[in-house]
Amino acid sequence: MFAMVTQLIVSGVATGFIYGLTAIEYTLIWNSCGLLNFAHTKTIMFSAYLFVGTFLAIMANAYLPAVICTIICIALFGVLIALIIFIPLRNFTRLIAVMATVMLGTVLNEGAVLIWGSAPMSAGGFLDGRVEIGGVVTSLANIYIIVISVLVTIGLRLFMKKTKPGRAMICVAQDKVAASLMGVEVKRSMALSVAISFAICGLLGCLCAPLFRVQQTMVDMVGLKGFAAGVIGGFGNTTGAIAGGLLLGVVENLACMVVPSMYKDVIAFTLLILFLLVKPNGLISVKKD
Amino acid sequence: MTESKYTGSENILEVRGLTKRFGGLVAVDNVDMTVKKREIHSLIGPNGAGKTTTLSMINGTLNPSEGTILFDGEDISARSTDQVAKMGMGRTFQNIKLFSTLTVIENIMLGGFCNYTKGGLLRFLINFRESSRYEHEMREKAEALADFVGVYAMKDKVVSDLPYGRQKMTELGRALMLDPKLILLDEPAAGLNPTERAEFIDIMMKVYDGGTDLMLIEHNMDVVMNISNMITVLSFGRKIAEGAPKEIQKNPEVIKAYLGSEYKPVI
Amino acid sequence: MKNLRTSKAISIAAVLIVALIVPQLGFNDYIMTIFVQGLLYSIIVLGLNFITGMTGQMNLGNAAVFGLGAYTAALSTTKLGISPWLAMILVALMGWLIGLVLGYPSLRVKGVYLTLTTIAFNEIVRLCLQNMEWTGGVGGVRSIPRFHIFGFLINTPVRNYYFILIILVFVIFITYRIIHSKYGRAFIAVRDNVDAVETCGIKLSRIKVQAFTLSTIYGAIAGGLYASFMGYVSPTTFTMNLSMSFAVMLIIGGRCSIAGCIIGAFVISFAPELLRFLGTYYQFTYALIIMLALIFNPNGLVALGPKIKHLFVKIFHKAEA
Repeated sequence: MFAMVTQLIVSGVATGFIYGLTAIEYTLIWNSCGLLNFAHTKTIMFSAYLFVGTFLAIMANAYLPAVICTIICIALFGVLIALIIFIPLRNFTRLIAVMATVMLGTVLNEGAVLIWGSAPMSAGGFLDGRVEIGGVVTSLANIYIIVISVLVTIGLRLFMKKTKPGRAMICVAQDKVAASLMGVEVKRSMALSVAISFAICGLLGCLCAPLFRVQQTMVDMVGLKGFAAGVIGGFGNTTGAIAGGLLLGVVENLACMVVPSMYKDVIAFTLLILFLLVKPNGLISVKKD
Repeated sequence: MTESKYTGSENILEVRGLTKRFGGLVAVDNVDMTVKKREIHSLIGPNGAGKTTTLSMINGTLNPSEGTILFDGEDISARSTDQVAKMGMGRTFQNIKLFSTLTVIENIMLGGFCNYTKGGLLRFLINFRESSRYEHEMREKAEALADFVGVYAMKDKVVSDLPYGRQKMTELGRALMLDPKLILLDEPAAGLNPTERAEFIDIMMKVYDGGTDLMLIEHNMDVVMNISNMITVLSFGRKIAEGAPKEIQKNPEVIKAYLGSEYKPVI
Repeated sequence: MKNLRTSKAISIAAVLIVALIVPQLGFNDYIMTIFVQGLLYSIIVLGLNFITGMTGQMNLGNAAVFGLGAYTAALSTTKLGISPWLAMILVALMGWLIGLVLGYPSLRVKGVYLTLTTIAFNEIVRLCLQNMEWTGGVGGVRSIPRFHIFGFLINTPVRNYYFILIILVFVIFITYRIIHSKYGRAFIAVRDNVDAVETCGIKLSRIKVQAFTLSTIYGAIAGGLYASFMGYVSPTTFTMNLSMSFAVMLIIGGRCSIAGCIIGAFVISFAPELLRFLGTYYQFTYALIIMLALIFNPNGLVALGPKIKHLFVKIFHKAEA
């Protein structure tokens, strides 16, 4: 019983970090461009395809270079998207901006079908295997996800706090006009945020590849739950995003012991609505006047 | 617009011990104020004195932290803005708040939303004749008001295409559509050129003569001293003076608040 | 002014005549089915227009409303055995109920939060429909009875077309009256300047819930008609993608305009057919076109009309000079 609960918690934490990273990734774009990027799930899916279908195939299963190439490609793609779509869209009505990102998602989705075909793929031996720590058996992928996510979160925090471009991003998030008056190049900072956001999508694509079968709908639920994690944690801040993701991941995994597992997803969304109604600022609220 | 719409007390507005705190900041501190019927009452004071906050509490946009507000003898401290509006209190805003994609006449008509109905949406849909009659009456009234405030010629234009001065007039027209007993005007003369200002004052006086009382926040002393017959002065959230324009002009407290304590008036 | 009115009346009459002739043009059942779908989607989009187009509250849960309407009709006719007509009353009540249940809580949330709430609602409904036993699970509900009018069974796509066309005309009539009334103006007022709404004596919460409820009633009714038209319902229809499609229809056609809503619904319904010649590239091209259309023509196809007219006038003037 104890082993089972711990096991559920460990895999809950791993999924939680996936949700948390998803939340961070769209929070970055939300903060910089004021835009909810609905294309993010499809970006993650696209990265997974790029990783498995192209780079792993070319590089004969050299995992690390393939991951790095994927992340770089997707980040560059992000810069392009920022320049032609996100930056012009920031002045639009929210409805239109959101729908445009939805359609961008569909473009990526269909693009993936055209490039890699519609048959699902598998990540092969990438992060395959199991480890046993103190009697708790868990998959290697889970451990990697937890470790990498922690590193990425800390790295991102340091980047935001310590470096000039990072601080510029915080300024842009708070007040674009004031930031531009202070000499911050707002558009460049936006492009950087989008690039980092897409890079995280790329990383998530690689991490999700061993968890799910690589196919068009592989991370649709993850994307939605990433939104839920963001709201539960407190919209617009990275610490909250991770906290919300972890809470969501652990709760829905533990809930599987009580309710039938098919209602697992219902729990996440009910939690989202409850939080919106009872504590709309989330667990950790951003201090804004 | 006749005298008969008055009920209740002889004061149109009574404010007792009105206080508003935002966190630790006291924006309005224990203000008492009485607006008698048939009065044009001005609320003046330096920037940040809490004038707009006071106005927002009176019309129910903000909840007062403490104090009571009586409107025509009824306690409205806990009522919402729409309830207060239905009782006959109109308001215009410091920076015009119009419905930018609607036309001038539609904006004015919206002001009468609550006056021309019986029942809700369902009754409107079922009772075709009644609803079109109401619509017709509402449009006629709005056209008359558009004419009154001088925007009739542009009544079918989208309101955001109008020059600033006309937009202010439209906002006043919208407030008048309520058949208000009292209109709160937040800086009506701000941003108007001298001709438009004169026109605005002219229309305000006509509104007043029609039986509607006015309360205004204004920075333009010309306007304040010429049209109001009672003035309340706020400074840092407190009432520092109240009286007729002549008295206020000589009041040392007021001069100090406006010009600083070193300034000695030459009388 | 009078000239404008007559030209408007003529164009409405022309559209109506075309709409009546369409089934006589010898389209096959498949194409007629798409026409019926266009009519049904028009009803939903007209409803969505109240909340998303006019009031400016972004609702991405409309597929769930559509689905709940369809399931209400499907289950009440097959399990309780009541007539489809009676079921439609239940469906309308269902729409009203969803509006209240979802509308009042949604007053507490704004902007993105509302969008996310409606998405969550959409997913909860879909997952529940899919997993619960009495809704038929993934298989959905089959053999839903058709409508009878004066002993006339509405079973073919052509009959359905006329039947739903009549309902749509009625819906348009009601929508027109609401849009051009103080309610319609109040909805737009909420979008344009929330702060000033209450000073006009309009109760903000009430007007928002009214807009919300109207949209859910429209959605549920369209769902009820859909159930009887298709004869079966399956939970996999009512995904978030469908909700997104409704929003796309609204924007592509043109917000706040009845013609825009209908044009949008038909254009998006027929897009797969029109782009079929592209083969495997169809989906990709479609998404790309829509995305670019959203960015470069955010006011929809309706807004193109005056632009084209203007262009013609310009060319004409140049030719003259």
